[in-house]
Amino acid sequence: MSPTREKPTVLVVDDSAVIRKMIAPVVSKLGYRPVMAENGDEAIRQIHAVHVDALLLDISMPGRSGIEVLQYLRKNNFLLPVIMISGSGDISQAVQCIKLGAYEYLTKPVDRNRLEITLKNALSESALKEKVRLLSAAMDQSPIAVVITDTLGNIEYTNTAFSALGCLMNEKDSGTPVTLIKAEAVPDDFQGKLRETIASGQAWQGEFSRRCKNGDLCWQQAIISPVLNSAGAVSHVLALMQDITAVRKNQEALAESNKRFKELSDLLPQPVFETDQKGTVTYSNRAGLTAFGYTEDDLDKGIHALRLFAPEERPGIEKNMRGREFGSHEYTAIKRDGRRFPVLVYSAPIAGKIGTAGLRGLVIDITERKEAEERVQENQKKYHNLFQAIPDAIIVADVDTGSLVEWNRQALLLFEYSPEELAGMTITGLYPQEFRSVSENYYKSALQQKAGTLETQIVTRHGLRIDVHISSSTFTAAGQRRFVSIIRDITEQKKSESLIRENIRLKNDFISTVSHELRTPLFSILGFTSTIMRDYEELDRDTMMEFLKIIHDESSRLSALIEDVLMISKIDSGRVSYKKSRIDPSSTLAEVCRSLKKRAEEKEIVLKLELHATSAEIYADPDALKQAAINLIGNALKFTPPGGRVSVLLSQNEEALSICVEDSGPGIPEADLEKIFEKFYRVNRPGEEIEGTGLGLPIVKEIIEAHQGTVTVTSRLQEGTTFTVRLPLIKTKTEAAA
Amino acid sequence: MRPEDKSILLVDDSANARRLTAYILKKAGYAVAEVANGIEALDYCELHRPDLILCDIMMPVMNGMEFREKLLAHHEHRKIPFIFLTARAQAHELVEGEQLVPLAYITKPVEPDSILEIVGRHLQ
Repeated sequence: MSPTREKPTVLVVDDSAVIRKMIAPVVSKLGYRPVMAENGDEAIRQIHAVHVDALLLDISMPGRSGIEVLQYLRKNNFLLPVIMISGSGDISQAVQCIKLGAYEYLTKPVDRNRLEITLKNALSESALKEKVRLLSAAMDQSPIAVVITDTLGNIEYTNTAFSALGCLMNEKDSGTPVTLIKAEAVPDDFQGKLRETIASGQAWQGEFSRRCKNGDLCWQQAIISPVLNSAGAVSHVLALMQDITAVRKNQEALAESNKRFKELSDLLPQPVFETDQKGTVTYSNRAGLTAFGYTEDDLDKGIHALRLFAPEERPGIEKNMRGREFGSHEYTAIKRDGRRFPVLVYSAPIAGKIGTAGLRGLVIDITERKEAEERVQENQKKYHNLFQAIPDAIIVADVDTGSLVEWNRQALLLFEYSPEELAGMTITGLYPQEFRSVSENYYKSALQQKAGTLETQIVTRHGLRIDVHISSSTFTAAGQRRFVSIIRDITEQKKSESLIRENIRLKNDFISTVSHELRTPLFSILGFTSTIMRDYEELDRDTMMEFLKIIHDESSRLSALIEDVLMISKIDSGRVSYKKSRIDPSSTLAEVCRSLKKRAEEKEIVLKLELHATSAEIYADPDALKQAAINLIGNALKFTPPGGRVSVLLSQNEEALSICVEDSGPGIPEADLEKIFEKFYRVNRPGEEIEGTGLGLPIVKEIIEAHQGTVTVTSRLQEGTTFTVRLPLIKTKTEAAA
Repeated sequence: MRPEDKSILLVDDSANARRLTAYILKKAGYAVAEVANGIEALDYCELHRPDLILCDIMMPVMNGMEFREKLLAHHEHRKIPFIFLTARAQAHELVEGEQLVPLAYITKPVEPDSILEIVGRHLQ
C-alpha cells in the first residue's frame, strides 16, 4: 500500500442503483473512497483503470455475473480482497465463491454493521498480506543472508541467500538449536559475549571465518541483533550475514600487494615518495626517510614536500608544479638538520578520480656526480689556466687533417693571428715555405713518438721569421688523435748566446792585447839588460845611460799598464768601491797639476790651471777623481808637441761642475772620436811613438760615470782637443735656501 | 860571406824596440835600415833590396800583414827572407793564406842571441 494514496478505494459493483446508493455512504463513512460500477464488464474496466483496494461484488447481474468477474480476477492475478454479495444465500454458490478466493460471502439484505466490519477486516488483512508478501520477496531477493532464530537458537526463518551461503544449514538442521557462529578464529568466550550483547538488547557485529562444506575457509560478516516483543523482551534473534570471503581475499591480496610494494620500494637505494594534492608527503620509502633525516613518526605528523628543498628552490618548484612541468629537475635538497645536497627529482602526477590527486616521484642524490663534475671542471680550469699561463706558445692540431684545434694566449702573441684565422690554418702553415718539409718530417716522427725537439723558424702573420725551439708529442682526446707542440721563441736565447760569444771574443782580444802590451816593454827591458850585461865593457857612458833610461821608461810603462789593467779588471767585475766624500775639486786639480808640472816643463808646454769655482763641492772619491785628472791632463801633455799649451779650467753653473782639459795637440780624427773610450783603442799617429796603454780614457769614463757625471770630447785636427767632465754639485745650505 | 855584406830591413813602430833590435844586429855586423811601419818599409823597398826583412805585426798606418801582402805582389822582392818579430801571442793565427806564411816568427820578448841565431840561419 503506497502512502501516496490517502484513501483506500472500494469498488462497489451492483446492478441495483438502490443498493449502490445504500452501500456508498457506508464506504465513505469508513473513510474509504467508493467507486461505482453497474455491471461486471464495467467492474473489470474500472479495475484496470484505477487502483482498487477492495471489491464489493453483486453476484446476480445482467451480463457478466459476479462469479465470472471473480474468476476473471483470479485468472488475472488481481489479489485484492473481494466481498461477494448475494441475494440467494445458496450455500453451494457461497462455497464456490470462497473456493475462487472471495474474502467473504454476504447475503442481502446486507447488514450495515456486518458490511463495515467485513470491509475493514478485508482491507487490513489485504494490506498485511501485501506487506508480508513484499517483505518475503525482499528477503528472498536480498544478497544478504537472513536468519531468525528463537532465543534458544532454533531457526525459525531463513531466506534464499542463507541457503546459498551454504555454510551452515542442511535441511535437517532446520528446527534444531544452532550455534550461529562456529568460528575457528574467535576466542573461546565469544559465544558468551555474543549472548550477553544480544540479551542486553544490543546488536553485535563482526567478521569471522569458518570452514565451509567444501572445506574451504570462508569469511563472513554478520550483524546479529535481538528482536524485541511488544513487552520489550527479546523474543527472537535476527542475524544478517554476508559472505565476505572474496572481499577478504581482495583485501588480503591488496595488503599483500601493498606489502610487496613497500618492501620493494624500501629496497630501493633512492628515495621514492608520494604527496597529496596539497604537497604533503603521503608516502616515502626508507631511503627517503634516511636521506632527508626523518622518521615514520615525522611522516605521520605530516611533512610538506617543499620543506625538503632549500628555500631559494621553493618558488621554482612551485612554478614547475603549477606549470605541470614534471619530468626531471635538479634541485638543492635540505635535510632535517639543515645540511644541503643536490638532487635530481623525477616526478609524475597521480591521476585521481577528478584531476590530479598528488605527485609521485623518485629522488636521486647527485652529490657524488656533482662532486665529480666539479672535480672535472676544476681540473679543466686548472689545465686551462696552466695552458694559458705557460710562457711558451702551445698549438694543438688534428693528426689526420693538420688543422689547428687549440692554442694558448702566447701562441696568439707569437704568431699574431686572430683565433678565427688560426682555426682555418694547418700546422705546417705556421712554418716558412723552406721549412715546411722539415716540419712535415718532424711531425711524422712525432706520430711514432720519436720526435725529440726541433730548432727551426716559424713565420708570423706579418711575415716575420722567429727562431724557435719545438717539442711535440701526440695524444688522443675523444677518439681524435692530436699533435701538441710547445713552441719556444729562442730569439733572446740566440741573442744572448751570440752576446756570450762576443764577450768571450772580447775577453780573448783583451787578453791577447794585454799580453802584447806587456811583451812590448818587456822585450826592450829584457833585450837591453842582456845587451848591457854582455857588452858592459864596451859600452860608453852615454849609450849605457840611454839604454838604462829606456829600461826605466819601459819598466814605468809596464808598471802603469799593470795598474791600468787591474783597474779595468776591477771595474769590469764591479769590484771597485769608491770611498766618496764631500770634497773640493779645485784642490785635487791643483795637486795633479803640481805633480805634472815637471813633465810639462820638460816638453816646454805651458800648463795653465784656472779655477773659477773655488767654493764648489762635489761628492766623490778623491783618489778616483785624481786618477781621472791625471789620465786626462797626462794624455794632453803626451799628445801636445813641445812648445804647446795645455789649460785646465774649473767652472760651475747652477747644477754642475765642469772640468775642461784643452790642449794644442794634433787633434783626433772624427772617425776615431767615438772609439777613444774603448779599451786599448789607440789613435794611429804616423811617424810618432806615443807611449800608453789604451786604457786611460776608458778608466776616466768609468770613474766619471760612477760619480753620476759625463765626459765628452771635441776636437779639431791641427788645433787641439778638449775633454769636458761634468759632475753634479752638492748644493750648499745657503744655495738650497735661496 | 861576412855579416856586414848583408843588409836587413827592420820594421817596428816602437822606437825603443827598434833601437834594441838595430843595436843587436849592427853589433853582429849587419847593415840595418830602420822604418816605423809598412808604408815606410814599402818606400824603402822601392829603392833598395834588403837581404832579409825583420818585421813587427802590430803597427799603425800599415801593419806587418798588409806590408807582407804588398811585398808578395812585388815580384822582385817576394823571395826576400821574411821574419815576423812580434809581441802578439799566436802570431801565426793572424797570418791568413799560405802565401803570407813567413820563414819564421820571433816572439817578443826574446834574448838578443836568439834573434841573431834565427836571422843568421835564414841568411845562409
